[in-house]
Amino acid sequence: MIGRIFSLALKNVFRARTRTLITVFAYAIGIGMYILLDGLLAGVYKDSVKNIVQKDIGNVKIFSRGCDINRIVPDPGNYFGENVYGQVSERYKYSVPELQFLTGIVSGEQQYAGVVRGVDSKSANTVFNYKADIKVGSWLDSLPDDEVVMGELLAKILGLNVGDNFTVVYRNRDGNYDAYDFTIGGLIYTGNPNVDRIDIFMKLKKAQQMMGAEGLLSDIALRTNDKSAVEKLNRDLEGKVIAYSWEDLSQDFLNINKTKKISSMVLIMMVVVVAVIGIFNTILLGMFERQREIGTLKAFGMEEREINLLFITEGGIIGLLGSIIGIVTGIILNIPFVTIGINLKTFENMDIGYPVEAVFKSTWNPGSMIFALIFGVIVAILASYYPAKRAAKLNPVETLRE
Amino acid sequence: MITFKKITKTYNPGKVEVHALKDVDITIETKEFLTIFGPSGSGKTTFLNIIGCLDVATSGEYFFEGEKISDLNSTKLSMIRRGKIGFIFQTYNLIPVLTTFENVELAMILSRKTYKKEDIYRTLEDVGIADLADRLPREMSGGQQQRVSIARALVKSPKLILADEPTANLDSENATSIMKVMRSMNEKYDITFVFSTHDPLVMNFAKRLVKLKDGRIEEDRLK
Repeated sequence: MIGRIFSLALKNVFRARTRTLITVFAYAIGIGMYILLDGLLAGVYKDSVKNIVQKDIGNVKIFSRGCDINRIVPDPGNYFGENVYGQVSERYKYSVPELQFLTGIVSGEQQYAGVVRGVDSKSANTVFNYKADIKVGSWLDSLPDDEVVMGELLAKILGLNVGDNFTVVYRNRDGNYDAYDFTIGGLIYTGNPNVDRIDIFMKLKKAQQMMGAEGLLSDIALRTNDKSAVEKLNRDLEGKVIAYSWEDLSQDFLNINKTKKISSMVLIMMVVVVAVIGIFNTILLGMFERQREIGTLKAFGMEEREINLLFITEGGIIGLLGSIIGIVTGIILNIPFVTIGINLKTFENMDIGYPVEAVFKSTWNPGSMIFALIFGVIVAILASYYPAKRAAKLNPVETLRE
Repeated sequence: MITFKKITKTYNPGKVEVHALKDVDITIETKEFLTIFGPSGSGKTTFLNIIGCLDVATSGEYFFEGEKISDLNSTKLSMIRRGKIGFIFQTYNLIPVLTTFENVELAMILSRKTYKKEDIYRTLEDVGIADLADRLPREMSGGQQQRVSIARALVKSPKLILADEPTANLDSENATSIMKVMRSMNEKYDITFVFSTHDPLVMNFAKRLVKLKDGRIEEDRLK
């Protein structure tokens, strides 16, 4: 019986072909948009996390206890001793000691704010693979102490290139203003705007000397697959320092991602509501048009629950078709974004609120596709519930008299 | 087979009451070929609806094969309809997306009786449309569609077939042909047929004529 009801429902769906196709099309647009946006958001999230972890802060970062992690760089009053790095590097091979401070960059008439990142050149390359990101010139390990590596986008803003000189103006640990002249020895492009637009890399010793902070660090960054690294470090590094995960340090990014996901969902839900109204309308019209037929089926002994099932199945079939076509459409639209990606350079390196620049790629999310399929069918069934119930309750005497 | 005792059907009880049937007493035996006739509004369709368990009487008692129908709920009525009663409608009421075979088979499926495909084909042969098994309703003439409708009513071997104005949309040639088919089925399978009609041709085929007027039986005679 169920098989026969399904077969009859399938045939009924295509009786009013144009109406059904319009409804399926509207449904497919909603589902297709969901697949595409979900892929783009997941892709930009994945690239952002990659940029944060692999090019900026690592999986875990250690600061002095009491340091305000919402500041761009730690306050000099929160520096801690290099001996901590000794303890960390014994356990975590991929770790880098850093001394960061805020600076003003002066080049001719141009002035700009940036961050000096004094790093151990060898371990910084081991953790963040910065050497591979050098576009012009060299990485710190083959540069003299008075040469630095500058973010390529920062250099572009200042109109500087390798070999050019500029002045760094900063406040040292004692609170006095000081200035240093540097030569650009290399330009780095990591794909993370937080690095490429802001950072000036120099050797750790030089940064410590400038700040009057010999033997001190502002933070230690480390890369590890150990999920409990933060917990272990906080347990073992008792006292002055505290470890944070990259998530703890990227709340702004995570909140932006959450907000964008919610707003995309709201947009898609609006499309889905339109599609649901379409299904409701299609099934309701079918019910009105086929009243005599419903009466005949009842006269021949079809029960209310079977008529209910017939109409709900028709709604479910429309939802299934709309979902499948929507998923296929979403996949087709997503292919160029997955293979080629979106080049933000086309939009003048537009800030989209994510730590990505240039090209970011969409991704495939089979879980979302399965969700869209199930969600699409369930919503369609719910949309046809009322018209189906009305059809089931029709009085055969009245419908046959029509 | 069928007994009506003081069957009354009133629409809008308590408001502007319309008495479709008033104190109708009638007995219909197995194998009858009975025609209800009368002017419009005389209660013919209501009479058929109550016999067919599609509607229930406001008062009175209805017995079908000894079982008191007037006390049954809609589910029980539905079970009696699907197992024992076949319907033929003036406008055929075939399911437009189903072929002849499928329309007839659907009635068999709804009856919940076990069947073989041969049973369906045999019924189609009985009414002379075996060669139209794969046609959709829109691909057939009115006469052919009414034959499908007859096959659909016949296929589950019901005790009773009710036909509401079965020839109203047919020309006289097709109407005669359809009536001959039903008469032969009545004789071949001992099925009781009850018609409602205005058509003299249908009355000519009847073995018993019942005239309704203003909801009452005015005349009841054998031919």
